Amino acid sequence: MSVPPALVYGLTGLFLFVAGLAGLISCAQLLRKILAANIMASGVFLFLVTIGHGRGGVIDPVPHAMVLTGIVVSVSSTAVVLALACRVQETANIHDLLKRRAGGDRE
Amino acid sequence: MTGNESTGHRRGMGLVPLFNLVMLVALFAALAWGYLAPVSGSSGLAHRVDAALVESGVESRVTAVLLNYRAYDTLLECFVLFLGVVAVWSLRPFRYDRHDPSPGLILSSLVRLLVPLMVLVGGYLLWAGSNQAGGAFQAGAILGGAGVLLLLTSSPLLSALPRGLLSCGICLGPVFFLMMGLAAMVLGRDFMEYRGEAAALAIVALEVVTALSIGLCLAALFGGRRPEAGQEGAGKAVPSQDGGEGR
Repeated sequence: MSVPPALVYGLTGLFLFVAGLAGLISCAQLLRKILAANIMASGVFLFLVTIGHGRGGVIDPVPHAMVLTGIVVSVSSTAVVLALACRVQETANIHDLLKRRAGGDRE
Repeated sequence: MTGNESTGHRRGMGLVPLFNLVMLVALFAALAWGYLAPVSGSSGLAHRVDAALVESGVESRVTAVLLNYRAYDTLLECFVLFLGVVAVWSLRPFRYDRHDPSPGLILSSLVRLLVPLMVLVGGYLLWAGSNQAGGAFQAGAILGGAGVLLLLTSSPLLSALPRGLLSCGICLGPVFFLMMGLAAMVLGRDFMEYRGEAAALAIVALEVVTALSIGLCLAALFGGRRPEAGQEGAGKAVPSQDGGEGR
């Protein structure tokens, strides 16, 4: 007996979602968190497309359309988050520099 | 946020990762159970989409859902992209070092060959969207990719583009979408209700404008900062000390 492909896709989507969630809560670096959130989103997309394939061979176009929209939304939110992460990085570096300079003055 | 914090957390705390792992496995099991449980009486929306396809104005079902039945979805998506660009542009541009801003001869000629081809493929996808797989999003993604290539090679084409045109193009998607929806209201239908003969025309117009706007928004998001006012209409390559992606 062969495994139906829809089952593999659906479970893979769920696994990607959970793996992304694991990365999101256990990684401390911002960039890893962003990547993890993207992996979560990919899992959701895969799962939705699989759901749209449907039981009984009829393809439901509504989840497909939602995934198309979701991909674009995910790209734009990633861009915003990356820009924010760059700002955080820059600000953190400035704080580091100021701290170091203050420490150097005291010595 | 920094590496020190994370190693400090990991040291001496074996219980928390274990707890996390157990919870995640439980979550996966619950989701998988929900997915595998038999569903009765739900056949999705496929039949209803097929039944109304005749008056939607297109033959592709995904396009019909995106631009007719659930046009709100696409409208709000255009707004999300627009807001994303606004958010990225309103942050202070960050500084970063790029050592070699000038692309080599091979890269720039490859891009010069590829970009028209990408525009062609984008146009084809746009046209194909009315009766098969394809549509505004796919075309927009290809156009955005062409924009990213131009940005990466800091093409002089981009600096020739006036800045106002870019802003207008980014606003155009949501504004045009709203205007088409309101036009349907003026003609005596509901907001964004397209039916029959006019629907085909409306959807093609919406697709063209949305694809252009999506492509521009994606490229602008990749650019990461607002092009400076001083470069407006500059006909030659940008003096690129901080990345060389000004337009």
